[in-house]
Amino acid sequence: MEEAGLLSQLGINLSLFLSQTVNFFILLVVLTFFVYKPLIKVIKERNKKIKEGLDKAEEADIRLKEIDGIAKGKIKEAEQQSINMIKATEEKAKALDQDLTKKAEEHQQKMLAQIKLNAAYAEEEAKKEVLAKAADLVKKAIVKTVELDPHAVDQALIQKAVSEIKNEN
Amino acid sequence: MLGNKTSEEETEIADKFLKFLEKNGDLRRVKEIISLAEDLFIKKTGRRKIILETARRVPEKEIIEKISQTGDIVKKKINKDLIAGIKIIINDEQLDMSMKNKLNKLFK
Repeated sequence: MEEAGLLSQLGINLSLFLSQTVNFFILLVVLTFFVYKPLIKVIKERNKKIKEGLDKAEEADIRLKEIDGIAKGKIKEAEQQSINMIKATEEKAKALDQDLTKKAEEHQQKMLAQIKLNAAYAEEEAKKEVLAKAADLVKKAIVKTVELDPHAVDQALIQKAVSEIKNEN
Repeated sequence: MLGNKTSEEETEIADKFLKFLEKNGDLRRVKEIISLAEDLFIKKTGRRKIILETARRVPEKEIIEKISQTGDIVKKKINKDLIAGIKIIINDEQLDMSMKNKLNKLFK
């Protein structure tokens, strides 16, 4: 009774307090089962979905990085292949250039040799012609000289022939 | 060639020989046949056939006396191409002492 007197002194109606407490708990139970738990469930699911999304995004990011790495590798490989091809082409072009230069030099050498040969042949022919003309002139001069006194030449040669035959016999 | 025959006998043999050639149709080759007969005669008798070839007429008598022996048959030939000197052919041997030969040797 003293407690009731104390509560009434504090302005609290005990029966009202109790009913409100019961109402509160009822409301708490109702809210717990019908609002809080579904809400928590929804939040959890949402968090789960967000986490999954984040995981997938992270995985996608990793995959993207991997793909990027692969692409970079491929590009690098392609670049290396291109460089190798360019180098090979350059080497081939260089070899071809050297081969062509060598062939051109050989051809030039052959041409020079042929020209020298032709020049030597022409020179030789010219010499022969000059010599033949000179010999012809000398022959003609000798014949003219002989014709001045043919009997003397005849006599000298006949004497020589006769003495040779005599010596042989 | 005819041994100790008289000139009449020689003429008779020559006539017979010519008639024989005519009969065989070899008259056109008479020069060739006589030359061969001459060669045969020379070989058979061991004599020599001497040909003296000069560019112009020369006193051959002295040459013949110096190089020929009794029985040798000596022939003379003029060949202006020799220019000067002499070419002596004794059987198959030849001594070319002509100016043509000397010039050819000089300018060979």
